[in-house]
Amino acid sequence: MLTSDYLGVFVLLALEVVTGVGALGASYFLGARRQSPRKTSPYECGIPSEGAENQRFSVKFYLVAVSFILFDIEAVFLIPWALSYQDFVHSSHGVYAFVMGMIFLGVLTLGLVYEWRKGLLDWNK
Amino acid sequence: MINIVLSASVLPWVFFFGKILFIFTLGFGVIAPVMIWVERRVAAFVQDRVGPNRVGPLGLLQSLADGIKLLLKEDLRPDEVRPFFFILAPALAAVPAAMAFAVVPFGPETTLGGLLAEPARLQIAPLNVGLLYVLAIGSLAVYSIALAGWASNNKFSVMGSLRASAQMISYELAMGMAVVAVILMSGSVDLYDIVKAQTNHWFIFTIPGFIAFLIFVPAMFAETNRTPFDLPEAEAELVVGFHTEYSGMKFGLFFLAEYVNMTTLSAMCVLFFFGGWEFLPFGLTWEGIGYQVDQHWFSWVIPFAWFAAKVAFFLFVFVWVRWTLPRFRYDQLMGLGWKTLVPIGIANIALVAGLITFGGGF
Repeated sequence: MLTSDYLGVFVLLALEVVTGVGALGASYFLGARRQSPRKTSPYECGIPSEGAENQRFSVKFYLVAVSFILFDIEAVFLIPWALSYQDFVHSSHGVYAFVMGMIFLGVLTLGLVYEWRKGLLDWNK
Repeated sequence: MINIVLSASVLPWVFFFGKILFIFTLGFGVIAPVMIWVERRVAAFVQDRVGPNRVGPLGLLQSLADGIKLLLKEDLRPDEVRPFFFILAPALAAVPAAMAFAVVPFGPETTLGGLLAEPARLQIAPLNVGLLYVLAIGSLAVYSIALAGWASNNKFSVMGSLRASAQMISYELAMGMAVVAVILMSGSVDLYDIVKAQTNHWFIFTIPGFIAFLIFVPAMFAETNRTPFDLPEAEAELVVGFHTEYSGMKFGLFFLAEYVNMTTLSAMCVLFFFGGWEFLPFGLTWEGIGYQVDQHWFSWVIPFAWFAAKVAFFLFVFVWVRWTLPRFRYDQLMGLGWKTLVPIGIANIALVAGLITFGGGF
């Protein structure tokens, strides 16, 4: 029968890439082409754009990204625990699994509390 | 001819490609265009207008007309952009949005009324790690937005894409916490098994399930950048943010991706909390009311339609909320994600685990 469960994923991917490239390609060939310097200038409400090259942005965005990586990886570690949790309970190791999970969650919460106390979660600071 | 089509060796392949074509056509050809029309009509009714009603009956073909218009528009490339990434970003938006459809089980196991040798799932790819696949594919949406903003090289786009990226990763965390609770309750990451685990009690009717649902819904709105979390677009301040410089079909792909994303997340919400294609909660399954889901080759259509109806309800909620609620302030948005949803999510995981170990169930 079907060689792999993942075959469907790849067929769908191929179909979508063809559609996406097809749509962009069709619009490239079908669309009119009347470009002028004014038309292709960056959008800036009618005045000459300064561009975004030298633009600075708040370091908050960077901090959010860093704490996301930390917490997301911890969430990834939670998934195998959650997946096998009921097996632990059925083999009467439920308390063990619970305590271990709570220790992990506790560390996670400590991290969150630390960030909170440091004001990392207050966007206006 | 009929003998060839129905012979035992060809039929699984017909079934296989049939599923893919069915879902693909439904997603891009029906749901997204119809949703765009629904959005505009509902917006019109909320604002006491008529809305698009000229093209086709009730204006239903409006999206088709718009699609043709976008296709014939000039393929404009502003001067300052980074060309490769500028074109890559909209393509990256549209592709992952619909990739999650590959693992959505849209009906019960069926032999198509005996045509197939063994029961097969109505799912393009019956992955046993379906939920992880959805989370992984869902994360890719950030790339298209971050790339679009950076490649546009316009200050509005950069600001919009920064906001969008920060918002999406923050709420992805909250969504992850809600999903861990669902995994704890179902004991599986296979989306089909998650639905099966809800035969006797949809997760929405359990206490931890309900809490997880309350976390999931705001996260769902934030992930799709929809009102009340549409700060990345913020028309009045950012000129629609990350796609300011996009026009024509490239803009069309971003637009399409938004609706496909909404559909994917609505489907996830139904699968996680509302029993998928099952008829009613508390054990009232299709079999329970005497409906044979495998009697004829088309018998799966009724459960599928019921699943579609549930998804349609959440799609309507998306539209309804957009035209009812105002936009958050950015600090409120980040505060809600990190200070409310994530702590509740962590507490909820502890609650489910505790209930399973010490309460004998949830």
